[in-house]
Amino acid sequence: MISKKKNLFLILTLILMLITAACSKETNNVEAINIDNQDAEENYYIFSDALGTEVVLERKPERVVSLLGSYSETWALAGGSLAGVTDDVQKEGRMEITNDIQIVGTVKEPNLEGILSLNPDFVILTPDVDNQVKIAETLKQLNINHAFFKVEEFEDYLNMLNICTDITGRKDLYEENGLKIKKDIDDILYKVEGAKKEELKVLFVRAFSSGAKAKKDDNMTCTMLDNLGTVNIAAQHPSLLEDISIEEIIEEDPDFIFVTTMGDEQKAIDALKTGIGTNPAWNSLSAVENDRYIILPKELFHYKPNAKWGESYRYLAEIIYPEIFN
Amino acid sequence: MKAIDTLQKLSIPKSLINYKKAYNFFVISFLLILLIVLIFTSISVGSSSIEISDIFNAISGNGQLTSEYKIINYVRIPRTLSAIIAGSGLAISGLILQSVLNNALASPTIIGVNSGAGLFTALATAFFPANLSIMPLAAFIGAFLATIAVYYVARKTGASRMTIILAGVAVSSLVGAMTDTVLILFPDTVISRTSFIIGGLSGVTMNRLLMPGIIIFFSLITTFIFSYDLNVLSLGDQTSKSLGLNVDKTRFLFIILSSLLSGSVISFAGLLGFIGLIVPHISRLIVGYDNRILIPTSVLIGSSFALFCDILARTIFAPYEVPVGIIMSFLGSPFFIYLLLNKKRRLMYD
Amino acid sequence: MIKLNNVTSGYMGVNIIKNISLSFEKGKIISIIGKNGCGKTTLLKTASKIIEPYSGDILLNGKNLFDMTSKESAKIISYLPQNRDIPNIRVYDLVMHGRFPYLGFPRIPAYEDKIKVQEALHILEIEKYKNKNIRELSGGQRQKVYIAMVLAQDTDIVFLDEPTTYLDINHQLEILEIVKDLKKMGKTVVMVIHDLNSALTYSDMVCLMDKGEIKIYDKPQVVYESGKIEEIFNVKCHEVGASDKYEKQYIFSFMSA
Repeated sequence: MISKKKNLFLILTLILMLITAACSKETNNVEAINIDNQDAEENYYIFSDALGTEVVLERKPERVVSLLGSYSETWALAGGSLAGVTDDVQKEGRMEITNDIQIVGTVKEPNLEGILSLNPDFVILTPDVDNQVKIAETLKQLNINHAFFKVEEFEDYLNMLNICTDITGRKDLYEENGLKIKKDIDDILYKVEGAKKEELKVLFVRAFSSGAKAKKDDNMTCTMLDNLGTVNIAAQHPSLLEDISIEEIIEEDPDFIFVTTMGDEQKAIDALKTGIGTNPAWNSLSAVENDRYIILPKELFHYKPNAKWGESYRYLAEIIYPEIFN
Repeated sequence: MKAIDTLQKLSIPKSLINYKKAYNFFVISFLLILLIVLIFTSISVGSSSIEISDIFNAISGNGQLTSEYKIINYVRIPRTLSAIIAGSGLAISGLILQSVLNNALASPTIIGVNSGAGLFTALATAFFPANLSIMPLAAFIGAFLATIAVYYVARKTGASRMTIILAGVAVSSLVGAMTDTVLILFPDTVISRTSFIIGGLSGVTMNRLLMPGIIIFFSLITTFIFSYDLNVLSLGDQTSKSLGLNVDKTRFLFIILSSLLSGSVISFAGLLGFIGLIVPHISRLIVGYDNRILIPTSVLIGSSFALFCDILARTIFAPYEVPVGIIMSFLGSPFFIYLLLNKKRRLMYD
Repeated sequence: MIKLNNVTSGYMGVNIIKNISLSFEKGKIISIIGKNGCGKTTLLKTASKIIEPYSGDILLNGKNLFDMTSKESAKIISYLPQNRDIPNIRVYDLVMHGRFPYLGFPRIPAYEDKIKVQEALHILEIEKYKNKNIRELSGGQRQKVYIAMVLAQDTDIVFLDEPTTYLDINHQLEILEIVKDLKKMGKTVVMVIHDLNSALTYSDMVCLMDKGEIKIYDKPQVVYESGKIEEIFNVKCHEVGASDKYEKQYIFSFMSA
């Protein structure tokens, strides 16, 4: 009995020692890494990331890992090369995965080991995924440069492209993939402003395999529709639940109904058909009757279009104002 | 005269008692070796392959800042530790609840700990969306408050064992409904919450592990010290009172310990639900119901199991990770059924 | 010796027993009898510190029972409830639990504790079961194990709640003989018992309760002669057969309208 208790105490002290040993080693490591850094004299580039943290790049990054598909594309559009990406790059059809690029897990669960084994000197993250926030903590301890970006609207993309092209030094690409797009968009909006007659009503729906939600704002497509001078009827009827209320829609009778799909596109469309599509009231809406019920392509209206943002605007503008744009 | 008789009789049964002690010693030693093997495996294995020599360099601090070094010290070692801490914490939390509530189905989920943690995390991410590091603290506070609520309700209504279970179910349901409401009102918090609900050990840093680790360590020690009292408690309220145990106070102490354990685990690992329910049963099938041996056994089995599942979680589909909670259910349930069918010993309270 | 002064007690705010005053004399066997719901078990539980009275006090050898710590009182009083879960435990370990009030920190049994447990097992003649799981024993054997636990607890006063109910007749008699042995050791035994005959033949004092009050508390002979048993239970009671071989017994028959 007594010897057994001794055994157990030994085990417990062993575990305690392991914990304290690991902790103390960690602080040693951080110091070691810090000392290296202080020798660097002139920094390459400094900026503030989306969380307001100051990011200091001592030299131009050569091995970059990006943990969100659209950011990977933005970095590539800025002329940068990638060492590691998340698998949504493939799913969203952003770019070819060559042999030099490693997949380091998913957006929601990036593989820290995979990231570290690439010996990155710069990591791009999104603050919307808590696992990425956790990974940033470890990157910070290891003194690996990293930055959070948050892109919701075109301006955010433009800002990010600006910073990225500052880092890569390819301001020509900022012109080509950023400012030129802005000009295209401004042109379109200017034309609309001048030529449109009335404010058209639209409804924007995001459909997925188990249902559909009407979106009010906080969404890039809604922003585009808003900028194009239309009125989003969901914004007129704020209901917290974002569920589609057929009565309100009939009351407003929007001129256009736009749909994007999440997940499997075909399943979402089918769900719409067998759900609200069977409702005769729905089929009596003028938008449905006049063929203005439109499924929008994912690459332009669900995934961040990045350099194709101008195309997205044009796509919508041609549908909404055919008289102006055809 | 009687004393001499009994003295003589003492010498015979000693061997019988030692048989059980030898068995227990064997079990503990075996489990300890198993755990050590798993620890080494966990450190050596991952989505990137690392040479053994590099591993030793990394641990002893010789290697310079190579990626192997970073991976060992910043990914695998913290991960290994978190699995051990989470596994043992949850196992004992469930064991305590099952013992104190005299109910084989008791677990942190039942008494509302997980729901409480879930609600407060949802609230935290809804109202402070930018500050994701607030989540662990919120989880812990929620777990604790839920446990206190359950205990308060139970006390008011007589604190019998059944009342506590019912109170736990009631609190769980109410809190669950509140959480769902928060999610409907603030749907964009969903992203931050998904990994929390499933539970996982990825991305844990030593910082995040320190406070929960210390709390869990001391809670485990305390539980072990009072393990005999836990035995007495299982004789029933009236018998325990007759034997001089302060039943209410003891039960309260253990419930606090249980929520400290599970709350701490939730704060860094999310809602890992399986271990708290099953590991105590598995341990009981192997060493019986005496908490003095059951507690160390459960610590070892819980840690080993969590470690094993975590190793699988990060290597089966590398570089993709399977959430560790899913692996736990897949592995644990069939094994548990197997044990039930093959052992003659029965569960605590059939 | 335990003395109850004007004790009122019950559950959930409801009074079951009211203004009870009595004392249990040292070294005696006291039976508490009465119809279901009269408060026998409530009285037992209150006197043995399992539940706290709403008013009145209980003195244990002059000291207030509820001023003592649980451990202190557990060394003097023990209580064996009627309904128990059957835990999964070895006989030896269960009897060892009787030593709980004496175990310090850490909870490791000392040599003396082990001796007491051995004695208890020996006296109850259950040594051969010591390594068995109590779930494998019959009801009667199990009851003996519990009494061994109470014996190991080494208390002056033992409260038993219906110790013979549900047992086979041979075990019932065996338990009652053990109760007599407990008295021989100098212990005071207070038991609630349904079997009126056993109550009258084995006890030194009989306490008859009805509706939360004590109707009579006296020697068995006096209680029998008072006729209160017949009155309260609505039965006829006859004393029979005192002879060389058998002590007198009591027979009960239905009271026809």
